[in-house]
Amino acid sequence: MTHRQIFKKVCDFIDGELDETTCKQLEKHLVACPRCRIYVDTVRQTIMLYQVKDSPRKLPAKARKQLVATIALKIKKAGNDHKWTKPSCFTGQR
Amino acid sequence: MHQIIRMDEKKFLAAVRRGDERAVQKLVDLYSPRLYNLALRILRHPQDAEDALQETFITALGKLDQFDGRASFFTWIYRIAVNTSLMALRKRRSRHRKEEPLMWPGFDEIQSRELIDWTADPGRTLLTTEMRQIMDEAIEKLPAKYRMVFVLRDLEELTTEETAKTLGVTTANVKIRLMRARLFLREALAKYFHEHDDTKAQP
Repeated sequence: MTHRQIFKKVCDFIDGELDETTCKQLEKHLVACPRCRIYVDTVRQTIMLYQVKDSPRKLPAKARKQLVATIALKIKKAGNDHKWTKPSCFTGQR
Repeated sequence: MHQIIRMDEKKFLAAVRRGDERAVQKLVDLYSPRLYNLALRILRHPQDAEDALQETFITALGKLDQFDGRASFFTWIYRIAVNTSLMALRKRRSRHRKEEPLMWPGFDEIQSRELIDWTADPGRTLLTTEMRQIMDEAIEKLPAKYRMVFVLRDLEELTTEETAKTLGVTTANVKIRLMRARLFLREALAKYFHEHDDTKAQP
């Protein structure tokens, strides 16, 4: 496998979307080629760093409270206007 | 089992529709953690994410007649959240500046450069304030179509198929956009480490 092929397949490799034969060929190349290994590792590391950076955050309590109040108010208003209808799954029509 | 869950879902949504306070609270508590983080990952701004979250719930409730129960309620509202956040992102961008075309490094460009292994020492991969800033700037530069795929595939960890369905594009399209997004973001980090490190790999 050439360096260029590795470059093209790096994402499929990381995502485990390569067939077994191609995957083995790629791994064999990586053992012998530090440059390509660094390349694959740093792409993987990029994803990992963004995952760490964007790890889940909690919705602030104040925002949650406001959200519940706004939705309840909208429902009340819509109920008065008869705007919101039943979901079709309620009537069995698909 | 599946049917039982669906029946509960129907009863629950009916209670929400009636304006049952506990049901509304449950709706928010069930879905807002995932939807808030999705919006935050797309918009990267807490206030914008809160606005998108509110709009998502309001839109979903207004469109409840279109929910046919074929997908789960979560899948359905998740797609509304994706679209709402994407529209907010586009609106915000058109207000500030036009999207620049994405320049990602090609093979020949990468081959001609020195490569630094910045994964070897875990101490160097702790997120410093400067790194966070560089990462924010890089993702902010990603045009919406690449950013959406990166967020859904790598941060939300949806499959290629789920991402394609959610965005209404082909799986081949998802793959190419994801590759470009990853390479572009990697480039920003590589540049940072190149400037901050003197340990260089031998080509």
